[in-house]
Amino acid sequence: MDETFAREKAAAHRWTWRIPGYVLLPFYLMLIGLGLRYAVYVRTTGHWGFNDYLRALCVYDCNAYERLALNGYEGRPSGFDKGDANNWAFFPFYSILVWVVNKITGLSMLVGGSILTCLLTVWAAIMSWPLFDNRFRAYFLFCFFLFLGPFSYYFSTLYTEALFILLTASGFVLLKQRDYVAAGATGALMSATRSTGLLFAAAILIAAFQHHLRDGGTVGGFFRTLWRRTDLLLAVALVPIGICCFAIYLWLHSGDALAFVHIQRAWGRAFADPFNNLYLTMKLQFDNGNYSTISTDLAFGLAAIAGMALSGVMAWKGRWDWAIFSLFGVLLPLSTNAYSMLRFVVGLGPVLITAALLFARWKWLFYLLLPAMLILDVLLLPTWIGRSYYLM
Amino acid sequence: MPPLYRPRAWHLIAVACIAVFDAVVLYMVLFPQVAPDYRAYYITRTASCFPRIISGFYPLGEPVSFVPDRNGYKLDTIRWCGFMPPSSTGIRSFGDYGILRMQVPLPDDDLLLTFESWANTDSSKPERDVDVVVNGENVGTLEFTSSARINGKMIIPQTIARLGGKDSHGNDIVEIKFVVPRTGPPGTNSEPVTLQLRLEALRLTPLKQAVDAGALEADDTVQSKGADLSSAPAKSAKKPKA
Repeated sequence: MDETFAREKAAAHRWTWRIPGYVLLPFYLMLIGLGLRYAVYVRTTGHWGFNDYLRALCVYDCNAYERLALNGYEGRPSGFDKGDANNWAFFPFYSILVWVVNKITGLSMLVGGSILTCLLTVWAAIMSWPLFDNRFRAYFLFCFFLFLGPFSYYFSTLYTEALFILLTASGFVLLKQRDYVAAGATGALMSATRSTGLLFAAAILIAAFQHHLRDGGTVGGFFRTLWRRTDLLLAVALVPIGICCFAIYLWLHSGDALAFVHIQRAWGRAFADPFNNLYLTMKLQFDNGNYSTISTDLAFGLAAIAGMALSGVMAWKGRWDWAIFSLFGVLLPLSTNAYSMLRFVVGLGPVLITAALLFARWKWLFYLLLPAMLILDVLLLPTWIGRSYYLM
Repeated sequence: MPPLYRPRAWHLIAVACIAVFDAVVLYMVLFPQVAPDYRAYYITRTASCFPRIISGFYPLGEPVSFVPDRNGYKLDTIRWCGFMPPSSTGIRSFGDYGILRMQVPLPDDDLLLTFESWANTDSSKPERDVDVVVNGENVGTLEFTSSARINGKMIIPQTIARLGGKDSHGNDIVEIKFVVPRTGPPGTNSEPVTLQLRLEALRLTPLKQAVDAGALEADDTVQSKGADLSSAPAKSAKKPKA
């Protein structure tokens, strides 16, 4: 009896030391992705320097995040041809992490930041596992997209997508566990990473409402007892803290707490009807008589539509907290301009997870998507390094 | 039946602290402490450009070249607001106007403003008029009916040249503003589409010096109209509109 018990205990002990597949998978895919893209870089440029490779990968906003980590926020705007840009548009949390890595390890901002992004992406993938409800094929597709998909460079250089997806996944896992206060604290970090992090406050309320209904409560009952839900009150109050800290800093630095909004004029962004913006973006190339190719504007418009359609799928599946977060995560940037919509959609964790869950339902589609994504990853890398607006 | 939730005091205390914090942030949002040029461009959007920090230095009488390979004074010291950096097509205006700002000691004389310009228009489009405004006073109008170059030549009376006041070093400030027309409705960036004026070269010369050099008679391509030059000398370069 004792022997059997000891054997079971030992077996249980051995099992706990096993690293589960969902942890190893993103690590392996990350390493394969790194190796593949480096090989493509060497093949196309003939350069072997790994630092040169990381530098080549660091285009557009990557430079802004690197400079932000290096020098902090700039003074009077003077950038771009119009002389009206500076780095106030970039939220601080990611660059603070890069700066911390630099201070601890002594690695350059570029190298340290690139490693940090890769590890944040791995962490994001692991964190998101509970959101897949044990559907490993969908999880595999999601990880494959992150590390070997057509937008893998966002997840291997200095961009905020990896951190934002990590925080989003963590937030929704915490909501699933009904830990609203911790989810609110995660939301605070989200709003210090990107302005769309604010939307997580709505997700918290919606998740709480759905939990209430799932527990047999009524709609009226939820609103009647809402005033007593101090945990929800605190959770929602926590979310804007990140963006508020940034606003205070900007007020002290520039005199304008909303400088991160106002400076967007340099990027041609101004609040307007998002659907009108989408309409204008979609028809622009056809107005110019281009019926043969997909222009950047059309690509951005299609990305926005895909993001909204997947938000619809989330709502259809009953995941209203994901749906509202994702829908407004698309509409908010779209209301200022359609520019960079590809990146904004790819940076929405629930959109990627829902797409993975959807496409992994059919085995044939799953096996078709893997090589397709791999080929796009290889083909688009030189385009990205060549600073294509298309992929921005 | 959903579980009964018991409110927690520490939650409320934390929320109260956050509310105070939010009130401070709200104050900061409502009361920005910014310079007028920042407020006009970024907050109220009443200005169409944000001024650069420049010295305004200009050797009076020297030609300024805005095209890299040409002769002339090349330092980028007078391009103040609404003009993009020098390029092979000169400096291009954006927004409703472009302003050059010179900080220079002025002689007791009127000035002659000459410049080379062209615009992104053609003969199929309606006439586009560009007002030339110095220190807030209109000194002439350019009529662009095609993509052809227009060599502007305008007299700036001494009284107008001195309207800009003086800087801290005692130099006179001369702001030359080119007001361009709107040519299309705003796009998704809410900025109106405007005529893009391109300046390739510019010169501000004391009138006497210009007369001595024969600059007034030398060029017959003056395209200004409607300027009130009542204080200008009889030997004005202004030619009536063709």
